[in-house]
Amino acid sequence: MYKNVLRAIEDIGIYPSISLIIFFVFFVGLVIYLIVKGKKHWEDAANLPLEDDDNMNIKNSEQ
Amino acid sequence: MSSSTLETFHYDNDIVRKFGVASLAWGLIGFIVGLTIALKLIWPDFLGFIPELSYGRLRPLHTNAVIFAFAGNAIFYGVYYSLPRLTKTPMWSQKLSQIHFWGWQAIIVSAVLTLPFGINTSKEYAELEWPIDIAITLIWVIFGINMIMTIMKRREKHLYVAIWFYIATFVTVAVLHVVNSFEVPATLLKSYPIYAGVQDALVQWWYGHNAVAFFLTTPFLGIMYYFIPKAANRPIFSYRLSIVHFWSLIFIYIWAGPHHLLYTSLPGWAQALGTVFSLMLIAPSWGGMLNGLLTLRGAWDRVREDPVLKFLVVGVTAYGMVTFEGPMLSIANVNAIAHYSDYIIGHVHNGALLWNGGLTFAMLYYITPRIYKTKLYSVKLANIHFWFATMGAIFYVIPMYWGGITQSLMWKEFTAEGLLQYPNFLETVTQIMPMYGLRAIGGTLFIIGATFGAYNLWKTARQGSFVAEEVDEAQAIIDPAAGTNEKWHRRLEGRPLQFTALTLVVILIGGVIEYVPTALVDSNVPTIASVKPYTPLEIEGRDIYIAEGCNNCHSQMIRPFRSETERYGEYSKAGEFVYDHPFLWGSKRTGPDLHRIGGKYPDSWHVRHMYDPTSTSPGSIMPAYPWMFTQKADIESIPNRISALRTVGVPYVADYEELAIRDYNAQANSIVNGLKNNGFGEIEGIEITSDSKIVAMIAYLQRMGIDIKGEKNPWEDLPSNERLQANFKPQVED
Repeated sequence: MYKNVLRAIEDIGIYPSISLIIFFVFFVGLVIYLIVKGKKHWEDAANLPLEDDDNMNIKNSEQ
Repeated sequence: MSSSTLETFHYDNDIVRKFGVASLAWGLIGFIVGLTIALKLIWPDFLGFIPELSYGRLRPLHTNAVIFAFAGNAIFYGVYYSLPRLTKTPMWSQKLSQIHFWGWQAIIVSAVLTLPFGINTSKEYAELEWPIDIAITLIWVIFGINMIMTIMKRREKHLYVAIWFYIATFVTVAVLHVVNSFEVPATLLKSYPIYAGVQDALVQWWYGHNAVAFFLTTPFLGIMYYFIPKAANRPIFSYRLSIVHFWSLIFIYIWAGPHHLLYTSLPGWAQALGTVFSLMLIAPSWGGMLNGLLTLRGAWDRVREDPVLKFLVVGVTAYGMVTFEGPMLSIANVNAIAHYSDYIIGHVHNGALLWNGGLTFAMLYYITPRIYKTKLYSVKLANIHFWFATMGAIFYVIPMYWGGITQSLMWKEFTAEGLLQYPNFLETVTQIMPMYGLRAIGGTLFIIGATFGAYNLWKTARQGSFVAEEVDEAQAIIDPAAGTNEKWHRRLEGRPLQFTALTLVVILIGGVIEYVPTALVDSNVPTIASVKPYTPLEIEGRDIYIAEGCNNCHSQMIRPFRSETERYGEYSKAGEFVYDHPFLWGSKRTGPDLHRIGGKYPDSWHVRHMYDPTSTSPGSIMPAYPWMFTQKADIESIPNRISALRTVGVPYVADYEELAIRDYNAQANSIVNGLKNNGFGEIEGIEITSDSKIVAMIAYLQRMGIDIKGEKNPWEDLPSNERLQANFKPQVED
């Protein structure tokens, strides 16, 4: 049955392939970029949530 | 960037508190409704047979309450707390925050006022009718504007990873909700989707799956990326991993929807696509989970003491389990066993109770003492809550796994002679009743824990003093777009609009590729000439079937397995559903499949069965529907519904509205007369009249799945038959 659906839409099979390639290239590019830039580059960003900690530093475990 | 003047500003803690209270309050209600329907599966007569409290109507209320009221408010709770603190600016508009809060609560109240009254669309997690759909769109856009504008006005140039997940949530949920809600209103509270059958199923599960992805996953991942570092007081394990996590997760997730439709009449290419992308999904999911857990390396001693970290760790671990299960369940031969069974109920509760629930309670325990400038009232009580929640979830999930697999294998068991070992479906239900009992115990434990949590948080609030406006200060960014020497991803993170646009592009790739071919499917599904539109009486019956939520327990999709064709009959074909607005394939078989129920039993059997299921099926856990015998069908709006159905593509002849009621009465009278001749003019003293709901229901049940046999034209005996015949040619003709 589904073959009829497939046939009726021209070159349907290529759609997923194209987007998979786009994603794969993006993904590999992203990983290479992240490796090249190194870990240090992101340290300040990673610390963002911790910046306002001195406001109210209450730990739940300190009862 | 050299300005050193610090600007002082205030975070709005009032809106944070509001969303927190709403999440907890609605959560408790949602859990209790869940326990109620769990008990109804053990004792069908629990709470009597009140229409508004019947299983089929309460089940959507439970799922909607937990997803949109409990988890939904929790998302906003987390966003309204973390986003201003990460961007060093208050929310852009306090007024929009308030409209967002009250609008969202009004939507939830409207769900409470419609779903138990049988007003629903039947589409899972999109049950709310069209006026509420519009309200959801408006409120969601208000949330989005407030969020994006806050980001635009930020004092911190870099957008932390949590914010990316919030942006992806906003963009994708907007797209999903709008596309899945294309429907044509027939009356003020009744609409029909523009899609039919296979196409409707694909759009619905593209939505349904991604509602899990972008409502129950991405916002909670953002919450994880903010609150784990906060609670552990150390940065995320790998920020680089979080970048990979984000882009691969949002790209891959959007494709996975068709794994809900394996072995159905959905075209095979779409099923294969769903499986492949579901398997790929394990990589980013586990990358994210490990990133969260590894953040705690060197801080594990604190997990023993801090209930916030406990809930976070169990939540993220449960996320890991569920995202391993998901891809495994997408493999066709695993899916063949797990689908339609209670295994899936266990799977989703693992996610809902521990991942969404765990992160929500972690946030509540983290934020409440801080906005009240105090300590948690009782760490000990929070730890007790933690164990109740965890044990409750285990007692819930394991019996469901066990029962689901047991029942599914019984469905598939053949004797040496090649006959079904358990031909009576009911036998497979009574077998797993102990598991339903254990599940109710698990749910009860979870609820007890949650009430401890509510009490603890209330006492915490009582002992502290609320800080409605929290002061902070930061430098302004002079030019947010400055810093051109930075590399592309850093620059992208400094440009929220471009970031949002790229996110939209990424999720649209998967969405469009699945959606466009099926948008064309309508005219490509091989039309079966003998498949005809429903008669007016059957339309009413079908709408009652939807109102009562029959699809919550009965599928209408026989998969091409011998165990199913033996039990139910010929497997379901795509062409049989071309007039089904909406599709009613269902996703769970608490009762048997109904696609070939038409003609299987006499009308009188249905009369007895619907009045008291145990009279025909001793031990049945189906609720009785006595009100169908006393309540009148909605004949008046039949012409409106015919018009709406024609608008969405069902080929009723012009002006059929004028003939419809005459056809309705003729068919109903013929059913009533047939019943009378067989001694079923009344049941338990209630006369069966042609305008009662039961007659429409019987008409629909007897029509189901018979067209393909081509034995009888369902329109043959109707007064307007001759006028109509010419118009019911297959759609492909023109």
